[in-house]
Amino acid sequence: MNGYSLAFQFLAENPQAILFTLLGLLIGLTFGALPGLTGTAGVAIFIPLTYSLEPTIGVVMLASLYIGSMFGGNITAILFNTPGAPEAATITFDGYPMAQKGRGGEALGYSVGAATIGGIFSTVVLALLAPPLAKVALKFAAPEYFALAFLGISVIASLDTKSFWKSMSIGLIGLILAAVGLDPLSSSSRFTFGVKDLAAGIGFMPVIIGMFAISEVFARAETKNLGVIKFGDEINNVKVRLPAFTEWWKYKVSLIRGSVIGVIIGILPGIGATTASFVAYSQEVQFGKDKETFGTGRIEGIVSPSCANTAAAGGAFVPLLSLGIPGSSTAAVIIGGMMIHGIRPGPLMMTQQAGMVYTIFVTMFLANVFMLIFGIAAVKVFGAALKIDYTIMAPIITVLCVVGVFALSNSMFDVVIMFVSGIVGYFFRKFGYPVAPLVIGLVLGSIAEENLRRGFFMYHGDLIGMFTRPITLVLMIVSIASLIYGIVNGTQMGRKKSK
Amino acid sequence: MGHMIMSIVILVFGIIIFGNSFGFPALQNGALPDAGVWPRIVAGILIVCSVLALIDDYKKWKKSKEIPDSEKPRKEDAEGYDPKGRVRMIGSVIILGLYSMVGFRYMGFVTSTLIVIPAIMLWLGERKWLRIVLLTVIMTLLCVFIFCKFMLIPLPRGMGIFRNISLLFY
Repeated sequence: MNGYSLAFQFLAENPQAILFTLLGLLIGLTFGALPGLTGTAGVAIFIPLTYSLEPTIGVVMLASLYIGSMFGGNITAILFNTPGAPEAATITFDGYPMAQKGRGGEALGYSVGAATIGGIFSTVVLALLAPPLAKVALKFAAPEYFALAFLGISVIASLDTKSFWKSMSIGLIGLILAAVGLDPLSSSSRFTFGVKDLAAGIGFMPVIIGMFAISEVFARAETKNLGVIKFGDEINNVKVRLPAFTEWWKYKVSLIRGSVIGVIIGILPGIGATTASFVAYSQEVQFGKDKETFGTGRIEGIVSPSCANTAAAGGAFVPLLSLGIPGSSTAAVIIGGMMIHGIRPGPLMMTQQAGMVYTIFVTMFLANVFMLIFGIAAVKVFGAALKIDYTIMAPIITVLCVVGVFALSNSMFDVVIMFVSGIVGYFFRKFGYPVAPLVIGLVLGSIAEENLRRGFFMYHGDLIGMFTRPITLVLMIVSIASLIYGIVNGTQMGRKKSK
Repeated sequence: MGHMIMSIVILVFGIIIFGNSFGFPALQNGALPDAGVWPRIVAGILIVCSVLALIDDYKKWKKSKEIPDSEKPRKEDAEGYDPKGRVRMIGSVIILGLYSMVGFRYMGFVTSTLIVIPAIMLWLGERKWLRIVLLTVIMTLLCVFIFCKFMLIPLPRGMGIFRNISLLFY
């Protein structure tokens, strides 16, 4: 019997599966939105609650929770410059500036729509191409992972042409911060300066929350009226404005680019939506016109990473279902949940449990549709917070950030990192240093370094052999070209401004 | 001038990292790059970039010196300028610093949060006591419920009497 027939038959006999899909999505939206509550934590917490459910329904609920968490973080990223999850950090770059200009509803409309499109795209890809795509993913080795990370990092050269050398400096600081801690290959302690807590490295979430959310609290405290700008009532109500089809058509390239990048990176084991989001943003800057306007409220800067986030979530299911390999840390937890239910994901699953697999495809599609409807409703709840005085919002944000960062790893040191990052982020903003390149360097730096050295080892020091692997070569050529273009463009802009 | 100081701080940071990147043990008799190679390359490029940023800042500063003081824009005329802003910002930093680095750890989540929320609100200018009390109580209880009861994350309980207070909640 055709897989889809089995799926629809299952859903007809078990309509509660659709309810649990919706429930999982709503929980995921909440977990994604609040700092410190990630999608991974949400899946881990709710696995025990799925024990009493039919296995397929349990898996479906976990999958939709994962999808919901991919968008949830975007809401607080746009409205409060506080990414609820790491993959939402890129949404703050252009989403928050749009909200500051009174276009928060528009930003959220583009974000939720793009997230839905990315999610549906990846679900279709998953349904059509899971087994062959998984085989391609297995061809990725250390050189390809390095080239992918380098591609994401190369955008640092293009991000801020107003202060090109400052942008480069900050990005390089991010790469150095990623190297702090125990070296993964030799276990040597690097740049800990005797501080034993630094042996575990500097987590990027405390830095992101400090640089964006806490520094914002400091900056608002210094500003007249606490930085509150009174717009017209209709804007203050943050009504999510879903763009018309003709408006979406203008951004078709960004949508396709973000979706494809998200799916490809989602399929690669061990990478995840955070990298997908950063690479998508970097490519948007790379190929976009008027690069210097990125970071001031460009729609493309919201659309592409929003697509990539949810597309990566769907992409992570490709190796999960067809090979039993998780495409991300959340997918790894979902595998654990599946095994508790006696389900063994892998090559045989597509044939022996076709009904379950196709039910997952159908409900993931539904979850993305629900995300469009309920994502808008969730925004209304969070958007109402914009009407609240900043004297009330500031302590809420502060306490949630402190508790949320602590909750990540039960570490007081992370809270200290967050506070220090907040102060550093404040001074960066004051003296014209963009924060985005530091975050890019911090997130991608360890992936780049580790895989460069592993590749060096694989090829016994033969760099030419390493970089002439077909996929690596293509990625490196694109990266170097974008780096050179960024440097030339940046120095030319600098010379124009000094004249 | 502040811009130049920032560039110098970054330059010094780059030099420190570059200097510290030597002396890591070789791997596989030198067949594998040691732990210092990547930071050395990155720090080297950082030194170059920060010097160039410093030169840019110096040129801008020198240019600004050529403009008479009467023609320079006054900071008081800048959008969003508030003469009390800097004091308010420094106070926020102190309050948050005390909360996150001292209170949270030694007084526990409950006591420190019961103090810091009113402190921040009053410092930022809130004067409605009902709002202050309601927000303090609701926020504290909500966090205890979500993180301690629901997610079973043990928030710090503090020491001594503060620990006893925390144990009443979680």
